[in-house]
Amino acid sequence: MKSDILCVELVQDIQRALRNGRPIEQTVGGLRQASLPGIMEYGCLRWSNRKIVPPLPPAIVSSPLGIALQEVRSELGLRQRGGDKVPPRDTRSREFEFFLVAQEADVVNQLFGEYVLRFDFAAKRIGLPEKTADHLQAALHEMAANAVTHAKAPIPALIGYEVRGHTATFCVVDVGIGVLESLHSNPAYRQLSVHSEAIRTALQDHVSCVVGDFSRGNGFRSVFKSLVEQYGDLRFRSGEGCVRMHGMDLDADKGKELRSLPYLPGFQVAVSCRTRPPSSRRMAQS
Amino acid sequence: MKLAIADLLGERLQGEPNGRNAFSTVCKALAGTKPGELVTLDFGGIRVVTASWISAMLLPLYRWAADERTDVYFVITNGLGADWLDDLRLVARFNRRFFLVAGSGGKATKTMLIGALESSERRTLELVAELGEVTGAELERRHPEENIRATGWNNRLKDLYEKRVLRRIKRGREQVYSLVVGGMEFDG
Repeated sequence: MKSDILCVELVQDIQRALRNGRPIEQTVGGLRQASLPGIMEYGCLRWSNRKIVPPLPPAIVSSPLGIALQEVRSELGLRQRGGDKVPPRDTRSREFEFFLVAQEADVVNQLFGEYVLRFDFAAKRIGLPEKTADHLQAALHEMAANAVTHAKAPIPALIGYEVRGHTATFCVVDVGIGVLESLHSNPAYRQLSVHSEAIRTALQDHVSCVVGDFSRGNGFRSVFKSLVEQYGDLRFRSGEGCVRMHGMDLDADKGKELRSLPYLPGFQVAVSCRTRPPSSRRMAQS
Repeated sequence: MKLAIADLLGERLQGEPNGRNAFSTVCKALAGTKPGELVTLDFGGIRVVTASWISAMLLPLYRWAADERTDVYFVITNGLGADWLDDLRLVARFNRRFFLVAGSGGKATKTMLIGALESSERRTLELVAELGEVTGAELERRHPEENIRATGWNNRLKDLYEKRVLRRIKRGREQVYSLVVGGMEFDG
């Protein structure tokens, strides 16, 4: 664990270290930067292991990303005390911004609509085509709606976006029951026992936790629409599983699947689109 | 009646919760319609429509419209060629529903029936299109080669009526069916 950048791979390494009883304080204390998915998955890890997972160091807390995350009061973020700040009532695009959703009313609220619009405008500002930006903001909206409908989380889901350079990214994380348990409420999927298989199943059209209801389970379509455009990059993590997809393929059977990761509660989604192909270095730092 | 959806609901139609809200908003907007009325749902100016919104909004709307006390029919305009037409197809196919969608196809405006027709449904619609107005008894009489009794035809006609593809009026003791719009093309 030599990296000083908190990315999702490092969060996994930290989890493995915890599982094997190795110290993590030095690694965490030496962090200097964080990616959006990294800081949000670390928040989920810390929520589930608060006594043994240390807070992030000042270098990250005082970074622009850290400052933006402190705007919201969330047990998954960097600030658990103080009042709720009212989100800005404009559509001026920003580099980073976070939002909390606890119930369905939150995703039909005008404040959330404005938040999604700011992400949309920011994505267009860096040069993403209008259609791609439309699909990307729709994907964010769908994943937020998905979290409040299915996660059954004890605390609100955290949503974040980052639009910088050539990349627009959003993440939606919750610490709810996760994909596998959610699908188990439908007898048709009770045979599923592996988290990554549950994620793959959930990604298919019309797969829902509700028995026989084919009108549901369409939320991931928008996510895939953003994947096929502009060098998309998707990551879905839940429980001990992770599915990651790059590029130009709509087929959920493709992509890299990780099994037997250290357990992380809930469901974490990260979606990126770029105005140019990702460099291998940037990919590694996601 | 014409409903400008973008004016009523905004230009981004996304998410299941928004779809449920939109359903009640549109029902209120249609409160003044009369049974048998054709309502144009104008999707002009809409930027995004997602499958989950369609499922939460259009499916219940069409079920509500099929209630005999409501009996409203819909044509979606400015939909052909739209980016979200595939989502509409998907929802129609999985839920055994149909949507009439109008738009420009080449030089002329056309109306397409979106949804996967079974061969029996397609044949019934072809015969209704050919005859204009039909009853089950008339189809049995005119097409004995189909080897289907009046009751069988009536079941097919009623199913397509409930799916808002056929109109139905009562004439004496007979239920008379006709196409909601003439000249519809089948999608695939």
